[in-house]
Amino acid sequence: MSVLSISTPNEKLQTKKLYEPRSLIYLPKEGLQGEDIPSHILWENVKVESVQISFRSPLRFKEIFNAESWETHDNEIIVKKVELDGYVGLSFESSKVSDLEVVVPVNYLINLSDGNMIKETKEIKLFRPQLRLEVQTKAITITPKTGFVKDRIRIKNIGRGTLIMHIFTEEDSPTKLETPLEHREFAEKFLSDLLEELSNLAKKFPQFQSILDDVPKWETKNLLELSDEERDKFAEYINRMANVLASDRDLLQGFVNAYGKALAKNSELIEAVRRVVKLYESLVSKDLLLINPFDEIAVTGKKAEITLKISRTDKVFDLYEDIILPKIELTSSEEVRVPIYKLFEWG
Amino acid sequence: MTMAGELSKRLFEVPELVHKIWEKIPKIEILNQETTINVPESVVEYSMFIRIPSDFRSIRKPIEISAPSITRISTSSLHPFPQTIRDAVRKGIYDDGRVVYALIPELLPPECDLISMTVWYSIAEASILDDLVDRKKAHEPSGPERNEYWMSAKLKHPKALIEHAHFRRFDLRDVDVTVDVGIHNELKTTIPSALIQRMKAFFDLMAETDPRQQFKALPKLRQLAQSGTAGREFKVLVDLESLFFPEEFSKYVDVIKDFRYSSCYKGKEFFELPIPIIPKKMNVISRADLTLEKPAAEGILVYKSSMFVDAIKGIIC
Repeated sequence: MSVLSISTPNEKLQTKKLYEPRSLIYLPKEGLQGEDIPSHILWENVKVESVQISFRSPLRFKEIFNAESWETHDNEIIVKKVELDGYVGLSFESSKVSDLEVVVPVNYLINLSDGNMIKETKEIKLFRPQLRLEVQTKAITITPKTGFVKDRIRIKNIGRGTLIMHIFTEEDSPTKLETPLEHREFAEKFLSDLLEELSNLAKKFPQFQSILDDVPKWETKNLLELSDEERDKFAEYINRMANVLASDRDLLQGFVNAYGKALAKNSELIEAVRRVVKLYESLVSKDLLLINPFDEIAVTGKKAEITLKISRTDKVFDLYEDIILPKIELTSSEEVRVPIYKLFEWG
Repeated sequence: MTMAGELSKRLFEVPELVHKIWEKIPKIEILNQETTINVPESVVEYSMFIRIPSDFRSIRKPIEISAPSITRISTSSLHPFPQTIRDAVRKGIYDDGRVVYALIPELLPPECDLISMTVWYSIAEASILDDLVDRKKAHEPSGPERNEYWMSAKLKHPKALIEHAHFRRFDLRDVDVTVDVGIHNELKTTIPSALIQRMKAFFDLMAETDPRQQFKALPKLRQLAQSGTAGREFKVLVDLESLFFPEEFSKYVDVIKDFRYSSCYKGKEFFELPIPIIPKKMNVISRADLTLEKPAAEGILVYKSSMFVDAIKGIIC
C-alpha cells in the first residue's frame, strides 16, 4: 500500500486546499471624505515578484507596512520586495471634494514569479455631509407665552454623515448669544469634580497620567475655534484616550465610574430629567448635532437684531467654511429668552 | 537603530534578559521562543523551550531572574512526561527589595530532558500598541442599511519583531478598535415629542417650590394625570437608561469577520457637556488577534438600529 492511499478523499481535498494559491485584498467599500482609509493584501502559496497599486484623487498614499523595497509615484505604489512574505499593508488619506459622493477605483496588480498575475479592482465610495440653509425672511416673530417662533430659518443636512455645528454671533451683531449661567456653573463644577475623580484613577493606573494631563486643556476648548494643528492634536488625544481606555478593563471601568460620580455630584434627579428633555430638544435633525443648543438670545426691548455665524465640522474634525447669515430682526410682544435651536426649522 | 528596531528592543527587554541568563548555562539548548501579548491586560507572555542535559539537576546554584516588570514565572517539564512543576520556581526578595524568581534545578523531575519556562511581564507604556499596530475605523456608518462600521488592524513591522527576538511565534491577542456608534438619530425619531413635553411639564411642576404656584398648577397636573405615560415618566427614563448598560446595548451590536465584540460604554462628544441618563453615542470596543501568519485583520460592527428602535418603542408604549 502506498503512503498516498492512506488519505481519504476528503483529507486529500483538504490537503489540496491547504496548498492552494490564495490572495485576499481588503479595502472598505465606503468612507467619509477626509478619513484615513486602510487597505491590505494577504497571499499564501504563491511567490510574489512585485505588487502594484494604483488609485486616484481624492485618495492619497499615506503609509506602507512590511515593504522592504518600494517606490511611489503620483497615484501609484510599486512594492518590489516585502519584508515578511505574504503581506503588504497600506494606509490612504482622503480629502474633501465638491461632490457629495465620489467613487474611487483602486487597482491591485500582483505579479507572480511564474509570470502569472492576480488583478483586482476595488471601489470605495467617499461621501460627506452638506448643510443647506434657507432664510425665509429677515424678520422672525416669537410668541412669548408658547415659545412659538414664526418664519424660522430652514436648515437641513443634504449630504451623508454627521455635521457638528456651533452657532455664534458675529462680532458686529447688536445682540449676542448668551450661555445660561446654570450651564456655565455646571460645566465648571463638573470638570473640577471629574478631574478630581480622574486624578484618583491615575494613581492606580499610571498609564492614564499622560492623558489626564491633557484633559483640562481639551475639555475647556471649543473644537470649532481650534487651529488646524490644534485640531490634529485634538484628534490624536481622542484616539489616545479611546486606546488607553480599551487597553485595560479595570481602567475603563474606573473611568466610567469617575464620570458617573462627577455627574452624580452635579445633577439631582430633576436636573437630570431636565437635561434629558433638553438633550432631546437639541437633537435637532437627522445627522445634525448642535454643540450649543442651550445658548440663548435675550429679546429685551421687544426687538433684537442679531447676525449669526454657523461653524461646522464633521466626525474627522475637518472644518467647513463658516456661513454668515444676514442680519435678522427678532420681535416679541414682551421680554423673552429664546434658545438658539428654536430659531431654526430643522429639516 | 530603526524605529521598529527600537520598539522591539523596548518590548522584548525581558525575553532578552532571560535568554542571556539561559545562554550562559553550559550544555543546554534553547529550541524555540514564543511570545503572546495580551492587549487588554497589558501583559506579555514569553515562553522558551529548553533541552537540558542529564546532569542539569546537579547544578546547585538557582537560576535567578529579576526585572521589575516580571509578574510571574512558571516551568513545565515537556518530555518524557508533560507536567507543570509548581515548586521549581520560587519567588524571593533581594536585600535591596528587588523581586527575584529562582529556578531550582534539583526540583525538576529526574527523568525530564525538555522543559519550558514561561515569563509574564507587564508593559507600562500605553503607546506601545500604536507603535506595533496600525488601527483604523469608520467614523460614519456605511452598508445598505447604513448601520455598518468597518474596522482594520495590521502589524506595522512584522519582520522587526522576529528579527530582533528570533521568535518562532508571535501573537498579539485582543487588539482593540473603538468605534463611536451614533444613536442620536434613533432617539430623535423614536421618542415621541408629546412624551417629552409631558415629562418637561411634569418635572417643571415638581421643581416648583412656591406653594401658590403649585396650587395654580393643579389643573395642569390633573390634565397630565390623564395622559398615557402619566406616573410612568420616571420609569420610562430608568428603562431607557438601562438600554445603555453594556450587557443590554451589546444585544444591538454584531461584530463579524476577524473582530469580536468586547465591551461598550456611554460616549460623550468632548466638546459638549455630558448628559446624564441618555448618551448621544456609544463607544463600542471590538478586538482581533494578529499573528505573523495573519498580520492583518478586518471586521465589521453592525449596529442593529431597527432592533434598538423596537426596544425604545417597547419601553415607551
